[in-house]
Amino acid sequence: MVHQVTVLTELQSIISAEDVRPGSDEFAVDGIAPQAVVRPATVEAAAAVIGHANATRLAVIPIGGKQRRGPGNVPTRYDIALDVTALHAVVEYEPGDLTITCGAGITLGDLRKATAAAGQMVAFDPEIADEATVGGVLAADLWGPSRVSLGGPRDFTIGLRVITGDGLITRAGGRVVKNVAGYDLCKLYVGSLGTLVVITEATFKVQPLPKATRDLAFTAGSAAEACGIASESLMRGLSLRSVVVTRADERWRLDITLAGSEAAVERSARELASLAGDRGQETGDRDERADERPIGVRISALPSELPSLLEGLPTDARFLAYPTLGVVRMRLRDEGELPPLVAMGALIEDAPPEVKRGIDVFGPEPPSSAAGGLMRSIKAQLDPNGVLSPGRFVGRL
Amino acid sequence: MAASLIKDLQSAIGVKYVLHAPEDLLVYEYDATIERGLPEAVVLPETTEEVAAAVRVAKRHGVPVTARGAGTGLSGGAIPCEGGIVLVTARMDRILKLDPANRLAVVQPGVINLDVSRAAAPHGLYFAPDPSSQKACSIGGNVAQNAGGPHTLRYGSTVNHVLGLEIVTPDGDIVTLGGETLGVPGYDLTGLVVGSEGTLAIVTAVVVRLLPRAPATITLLAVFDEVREASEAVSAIIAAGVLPAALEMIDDKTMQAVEPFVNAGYPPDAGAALLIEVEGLEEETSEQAEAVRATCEASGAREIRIGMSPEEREKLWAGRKGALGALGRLAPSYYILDGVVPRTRLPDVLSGIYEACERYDIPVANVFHAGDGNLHPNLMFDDRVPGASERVLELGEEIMRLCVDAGGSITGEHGVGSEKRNYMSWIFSDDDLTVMARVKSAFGADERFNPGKIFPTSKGCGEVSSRMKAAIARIGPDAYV
Repeated sequence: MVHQVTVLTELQSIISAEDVRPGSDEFAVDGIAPQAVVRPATVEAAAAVIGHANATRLAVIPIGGKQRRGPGNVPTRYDIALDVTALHAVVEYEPGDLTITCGAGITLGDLRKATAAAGQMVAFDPEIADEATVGGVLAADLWGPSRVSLGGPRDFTIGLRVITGDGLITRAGGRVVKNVAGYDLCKLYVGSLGTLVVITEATFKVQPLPKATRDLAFTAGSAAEACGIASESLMRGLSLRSVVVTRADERWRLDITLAGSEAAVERSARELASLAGDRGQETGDRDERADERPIGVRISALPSELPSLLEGLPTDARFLAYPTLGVVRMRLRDEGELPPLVAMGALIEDAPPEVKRGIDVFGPEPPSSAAGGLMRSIKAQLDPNGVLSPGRFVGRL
Repeated sequence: MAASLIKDLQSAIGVKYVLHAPEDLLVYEYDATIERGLPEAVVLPETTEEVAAAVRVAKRHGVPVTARGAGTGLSGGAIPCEGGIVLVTARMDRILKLDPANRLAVVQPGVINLDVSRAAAPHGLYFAPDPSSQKACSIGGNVAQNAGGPHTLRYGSTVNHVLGLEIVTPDGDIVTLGGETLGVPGYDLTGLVVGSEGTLAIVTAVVVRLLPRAPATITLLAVFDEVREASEAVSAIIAAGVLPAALEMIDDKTMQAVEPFVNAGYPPDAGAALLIEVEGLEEETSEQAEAVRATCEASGAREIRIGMSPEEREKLWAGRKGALGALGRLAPSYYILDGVVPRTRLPDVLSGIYEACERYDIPVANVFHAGDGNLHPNLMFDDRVPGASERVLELGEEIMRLCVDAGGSITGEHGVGSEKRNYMSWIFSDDDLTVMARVKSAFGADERFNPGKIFPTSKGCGEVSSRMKAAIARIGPDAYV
């Protein structure tokens, strides 16, 4: 390991000394603290840091709002925390174009404020605090319940400015809503967990805020019934923004958010009430006790397989199911609950380091060897010396 | 050498489906662009394994492979710029699986776009990407080009509707990317391969997402005296908080060309028309239609027609859909451009385009996806007049410059192909292009899959390789007309 004093001194010779600090637990990833924290004020300074890390083989992990540091495998090395929060400007926003360009360090809260002022929104709604940064949310491809209606980050990210592992500042995509010039590298970068590039700026499609929204909750007799109502309301074209199925003790519950015009929301609510029949509407908030459980896993299935999958979970399981997407997010008390879920193809979305050490959070099966080979080649091309978030990704890339 | 290449291809996929006679090859030297390039052999595999076998033969012989769907592409994507093998997916035309409960289908690349929606229709579902060529174009081609269409405005391009792919790599390996469920771990190689124009992989199966048909649709036609009024109305509609399913513009030249055929009822002295479609629940569509009507009137529309029934809507669309065919009557040749500008720059860029065309004295008709700023100027000319093609290409380049200078892109849905590869450096830096080239080399693609596409080069497409020169010599100059 390179001596910490050397690391700090060298970094201070590259960018402003006040932007370099000794590492601390505040920036730890999976229990590993970096030797240094840099908070570059410009993209060029960030690229200089990465270029230096590339030349000296120091491992860099980009850090945003520090809201979710559990995704991915335990890094094999971690020398420099690259804090992107200084890159937080709204670079360009023309509401009439339905696009916004901002620094990766902008928080979701600030992005929401900027667009709401013009009656618009970017379709982010991951279950994460407002302090989370755009860069982190993109790197981890965090999506929320509105994915069913508005798509996930890959669907509304139209341009990215990034730094490769060897320090090149490059752009992918553009600033217009429709664009097929060259490879769409945005798709590759979103969800790459900081292992291919560091994202420094992003351009998103925005959309008008709905004129009306309404939250509804229904009781259902079974998972199949809850999922069936969800599927039927989708097929009928009701104004769904999001649909979530949960279970508290023996009761199945369907939470639906409607969004659209007043009249459309009103009609959707009426139709949903009749679909749900005489079981009636739930009152009160959803049981959120799940959040106290330390391990988060995600299971993907075909939507048609979801009811039986859900019925098969232990009655004290705490989960959020997205019935029209075929995805279940589940919280576990301890790693003893993992093996049967992993056997079903569950991925670990976040977990304490002591749980993650020694296992591959993406599951025991590597992706098909050929696809894994392509991923390995891409990693080698964009981060030739393996200095970006080494070991965190699928196949320990 | 060529004879052993043919022999090896024949043993890989059967004698009947390897074409090599000069008169057979000529059929595959073109697509819907003005480019030409002659292959040495054409193969028509039926299965993924045959595609892989043909690719391995090509690798062994060191010849490139260019995949071809229906040949309706508008950027030269299916032209074998450097000869070699053209791999036609026409026989891979089966819908392998239709799964209405999970709103998806698995299709072979040769399936025609509209046939997917036809198959899904009894279940109330459809495949959203709807390029104008949807009755003829193939899903494989849609995936290669990341095809769009009028309804991209609300529903996105092909990439937003593809869940997974089966591909054959340049080494001849069969690889599955993504899948029928969401969240297959790993880099999003599906999203990367969509739109890669056949340069990274050959797609042999596609998992497509199907959408439920909207319960109600209303189509409006708003007629304006001036193009500028119409293009300002586009931004005004968006500013009113309405996101239509489609928002198309048709200019005076197009309307005049279309009217005699379609009898769409376009006034002969109108300057432009907007075709606007809103979709959703009845309550919402009627509100949105009212908002669109009011906005268009405020922007100076002199007449607004509303289509509610499928027949009425079809009639309003007829002029838009028949536009290209009708324009073909105005001049022996036309060159369709594809550029994108930020929506708010539309009025200025359109003025710039009309000004440039006037300066070149080349007639232009604009019929395009105004809602997402995706322009399609059609330049009309006579390619038999010496120098006419060169002037049209020069004007096309100037128009592309206008789009790029406005902060736009050189292509919104037709692809870069060979047509626009040298414009890539207008919107991407050397480093940007270096990174794309690195990704290409990660696939082991080098120049083996669809060479001469996307990346800038000093070579011209159709600038014949020595192998192709030999092929042309064989058929003789008289055959090449």
